[in-house]
Amino acid sequence: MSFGIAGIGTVLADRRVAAAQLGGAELLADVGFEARHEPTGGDVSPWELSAAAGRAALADAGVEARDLDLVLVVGRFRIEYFTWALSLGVEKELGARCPAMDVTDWTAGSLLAGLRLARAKFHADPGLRNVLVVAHQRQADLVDPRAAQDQPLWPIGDGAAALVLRRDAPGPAVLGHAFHTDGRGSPLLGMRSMVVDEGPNPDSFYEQQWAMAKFLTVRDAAAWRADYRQRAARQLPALVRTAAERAGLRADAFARVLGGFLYPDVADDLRAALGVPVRSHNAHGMLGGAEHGFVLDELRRDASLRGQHVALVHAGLPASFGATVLRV
Amino acid sequence: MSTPGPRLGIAGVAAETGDLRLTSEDLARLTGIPQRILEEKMGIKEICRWGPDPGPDAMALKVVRRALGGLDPRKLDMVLMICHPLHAEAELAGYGHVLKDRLGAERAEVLEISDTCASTCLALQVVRDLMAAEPELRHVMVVGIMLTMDSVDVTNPRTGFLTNVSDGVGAMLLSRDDGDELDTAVLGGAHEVDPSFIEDLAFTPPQWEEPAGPKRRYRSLLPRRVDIVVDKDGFKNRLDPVTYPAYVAVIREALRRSGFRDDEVDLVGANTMKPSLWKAILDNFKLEPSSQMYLPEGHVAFLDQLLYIERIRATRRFPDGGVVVLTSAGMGFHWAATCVAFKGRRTEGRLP
Repeated sequence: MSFGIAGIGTVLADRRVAAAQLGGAELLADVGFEARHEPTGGDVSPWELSAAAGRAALADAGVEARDLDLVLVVGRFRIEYFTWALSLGVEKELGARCPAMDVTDWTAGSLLAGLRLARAKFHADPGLRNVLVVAHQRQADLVDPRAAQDQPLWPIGDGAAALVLRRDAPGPAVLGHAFHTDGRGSPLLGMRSMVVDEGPNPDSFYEQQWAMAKFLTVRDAAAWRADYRQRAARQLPALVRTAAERAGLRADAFARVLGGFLYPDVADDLRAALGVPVRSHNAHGMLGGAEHGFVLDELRRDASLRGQHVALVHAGLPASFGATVLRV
Repeated sequence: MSTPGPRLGIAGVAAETGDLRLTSEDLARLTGIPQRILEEKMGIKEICRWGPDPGPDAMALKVVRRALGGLDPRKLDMVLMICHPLHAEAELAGYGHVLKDRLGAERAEVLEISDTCASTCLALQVVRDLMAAEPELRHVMVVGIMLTMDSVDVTNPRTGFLTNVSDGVGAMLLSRDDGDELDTAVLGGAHEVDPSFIEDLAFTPPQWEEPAGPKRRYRSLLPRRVDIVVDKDGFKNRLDPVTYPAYVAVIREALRRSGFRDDEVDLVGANTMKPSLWKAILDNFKLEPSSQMYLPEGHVAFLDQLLYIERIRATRRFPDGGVVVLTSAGMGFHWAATCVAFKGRRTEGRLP
């Protein structure tokens, strides 16, 4: 059984907010993000982001939607953009008609989880030829950039990535995985609610529309970061080693370890533990694991890594970690 | 003909429905639908809701412990959570994390299947596929929580077809069965979809003139309920002709992929539906309703399938082995079916 990545599509919410605009140079150095992306006007749904990424991946692969055999949509569900099944929304937008599933992944980063499930499906069903995996995040408005204590969460932004996987296609091969979650993680990460002004009220009963809104928050940023770093240092190197072992490799066999968004201290710890180059993709902030779409896109352009092994790693919230081994 | 794939069985199952009951008499008063229609045409005798104590959280932990049997929770490799998309836990850490911590399932990953009422059938297929590809995966706990809360407004005439929705919790331990020690084998599955229905139903504040669809954001602390976006009759007229053949097709395909013929199925464990549709589906497999099970507690979403398995076990229904197809439609729409064989003389030599 083998499959390759035949097409990649990535999208970002249209408004780029540089870290420097939010908090200056120390934010870039400490939290590590270059920019976050959010939709202008705020009303872009996970449905639209996912469909756009899927459409781009199909175009990149030269595959028609009607030739898809399976659509997997992985991401964290947002009840504020309610849909019964985002995967069916993506199918409707693209014109596909095949089995479709929504999976919420809490451990691996959404795109890595999608790769894992697709690998299992290819293994189980010899008739499967083309699979679309979509990872998405639409959480930017769950973070309040005015709340200084929430700085570690400011990288959370909006975007999506999609892969078209095709049986027997050339391209990076998925060899093994390992995932872990530290349960709920630190109790210092939580949600708070507050009243927000949603703008002029068209019903004009009150002049403004007010609503109760929820925000992700940390209670003590330094303590939360220390806790997260400790969990990541314990889990990530172990997961890379386990994934390597399952792929029949040694942990030092990797030409490179490629992260989605990683806090700089987490990346440093991983580099020190594994003794191999570690590069994270912090250019677009945290996208819930959709960053790996950008990583894979860069990977296929990098001829120097062809034929070599790399590990893709994910460190997500609240305390979720994963590693996937690829032969490029 | 046996099915290729891992040897995988149901090592434990436990389910409970919500502790409060609304009878057809109560529902007739609330909905304005005559009690006779509710009972005979819609198949509703009663529905279940959670009371304040012990509530779904405590009950979920209880059913998981029951389903574990004697297995040490530290041996679980995965908690596969099924929450309805309406579940309030969705935004920060899914309920699977909470459960994993409370249970002490230190090694378990957390994954969540979010395909509405088709989720259990699809979860069985996902676990089977993962076990085929990943030899290290041995024990997966599938856990479902159904908590209707404010989502179904039984007084809304446009969503009368949701009147039978009930609350509950359920857990099912799926384990590798290399030693042939379990009484069941999870076999092949099938899955069809029709995405043209995905925008028909919304979850929306009742006072909004234009309902919130999947592309329109609203603050989740606003009151909300499931509602029909387009006209009710249009939705029904488009769905009725496709749902019956889709059910039949996925049941047939699940049997075929499991190495069984249409006439070998003993029980169709379908989600609770109106009796006329249920009987029409059974006719295709030459099954009499009197030989089947019909859940009296209403439609407990994706937990219907767990209730079937639990009751089949409790009543020792297949002492000589039997073939069950679990099937359900899921909003949007999905139709999924998965075959589960009970071991015995009748299935001997037919299983992986």
